[in-house]
Amino acid sequence: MSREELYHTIEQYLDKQLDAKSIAAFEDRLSKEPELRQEVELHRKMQEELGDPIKRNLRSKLDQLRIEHTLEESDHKIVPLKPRVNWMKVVSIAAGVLLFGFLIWLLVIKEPVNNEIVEQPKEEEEQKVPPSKEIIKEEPNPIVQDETPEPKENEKPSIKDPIKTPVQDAMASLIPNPLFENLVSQNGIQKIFEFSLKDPKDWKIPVQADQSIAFHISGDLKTTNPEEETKVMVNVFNNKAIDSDIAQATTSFSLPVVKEVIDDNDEEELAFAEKSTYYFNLDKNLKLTPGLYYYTLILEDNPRVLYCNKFTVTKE
Amino acid sequence: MKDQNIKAIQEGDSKGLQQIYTDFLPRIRRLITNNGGREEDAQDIFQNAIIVIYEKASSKDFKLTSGFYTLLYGICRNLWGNRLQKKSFKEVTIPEDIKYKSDDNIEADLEKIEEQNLFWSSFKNLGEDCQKLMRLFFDKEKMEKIAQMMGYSSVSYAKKRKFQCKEKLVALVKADDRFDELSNRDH
Repeated sequence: MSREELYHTIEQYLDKQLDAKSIAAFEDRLSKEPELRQEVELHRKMQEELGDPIKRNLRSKLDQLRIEHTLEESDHKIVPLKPRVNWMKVVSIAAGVLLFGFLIWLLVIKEPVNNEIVEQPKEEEEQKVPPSKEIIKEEPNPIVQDETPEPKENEKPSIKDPIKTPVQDAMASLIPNPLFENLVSQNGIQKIFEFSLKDPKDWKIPVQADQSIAFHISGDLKTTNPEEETKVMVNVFNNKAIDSDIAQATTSFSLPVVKEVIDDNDEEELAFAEKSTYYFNLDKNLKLTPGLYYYTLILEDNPRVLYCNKFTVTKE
Repeated sequence: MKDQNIKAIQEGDSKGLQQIYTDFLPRIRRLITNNGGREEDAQDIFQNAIIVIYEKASSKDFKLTSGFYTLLYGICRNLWGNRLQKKSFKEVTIPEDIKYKSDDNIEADLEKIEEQNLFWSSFKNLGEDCQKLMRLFFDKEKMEKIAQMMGYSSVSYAKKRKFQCKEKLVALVKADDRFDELSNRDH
């Protein structure tokens, strides 16, 4: 049973769409295969959680509110938890450390210490502070003004993350994605499916008044693949996509292709036609925000990228 | 009469949720940051508490026996206490406050929420196209309709694509550290 068939059976089982005989057979498998039981349970829980449209809506809104309120309410200081301090213990440890330090000083006084080398790990340590998303402004917050101002021994300095401005966001959306840049550079390597497109090299598409862009591609595909029907898909990715897997695509649509018809009477041409040629000419309005995008051409039944190129969506 | 905050949560009402954030987040933030937490923790706990309230309010037995803030505070306090315990900050104790004491089984709530958060964050890591398709699938739309709405050439392609998206979602869930943690807890 392939993974696809397994998923289908699990979904049918959870939706109670299997007949009595199939249920019995599947439950027999469930009783013997703990891994399958786990898989079914995972699908059930995912359906339960992600199949509630109200909750999805609630979560989306909470995510949005979180962003808004983190930016608005970030001008506070983090108050470290007050440790229960045993002062006697602290004083005795401090005295011990001083004594030890004094002994070390006595021992190494003849070899001056290179300050830079000593300082280095300290700097590294500071950089290793756990990443924090909060943005801390300079002004003190009245809420915590009365809290201990002195840094505690176990207090880690907060990294002041720069506030992301719209300009920085816009710049981030234009950073080239190495994975896709590599795919772009590989165009023309494919020999079985050879795409020739008339898309411009430095392609910029402006956002129109209705917030969409006019995406146009035309060209041809020459293939030695004997398949009767060739179905091509276009997948569009933003510059943050982590792989060219269709599951990462921002949008995806089919590319209608028309096969070149060879005159049946021209026997010579028919005999020597090693490649079939398909033509395409597509105009499509896409809802995309300004930024750098990549698009890939793949066959419906094969995720391998056959062609990749990029375009930049610009403001009106 | 139903509490307006509970109503806003149950209906996902934007204005009502905005109000909840404005009215209660600063106080919850103070609770968390005064007890060793950071801004991010406060945001996590606040968000999780609202989901817990959504879950509770969706059950038939739910009855708000105290004020909304008392409920919210109690849940946040317990969620944070539980997280601190896990982080092994053994010396930490959040001062008891009888007024806000919650007698709920927070362990079970927390585990459920963590699992749900895992599914949600994995779902958000899918591309927009897959998210759209999976939303339709989870809403039990027929494959014919999904193919039509997604602009796919055939139902068989819609099915194939649905499988690819779900496979990716499952892979994202399983690749997350939280998945092993939650699975180990189950056994």
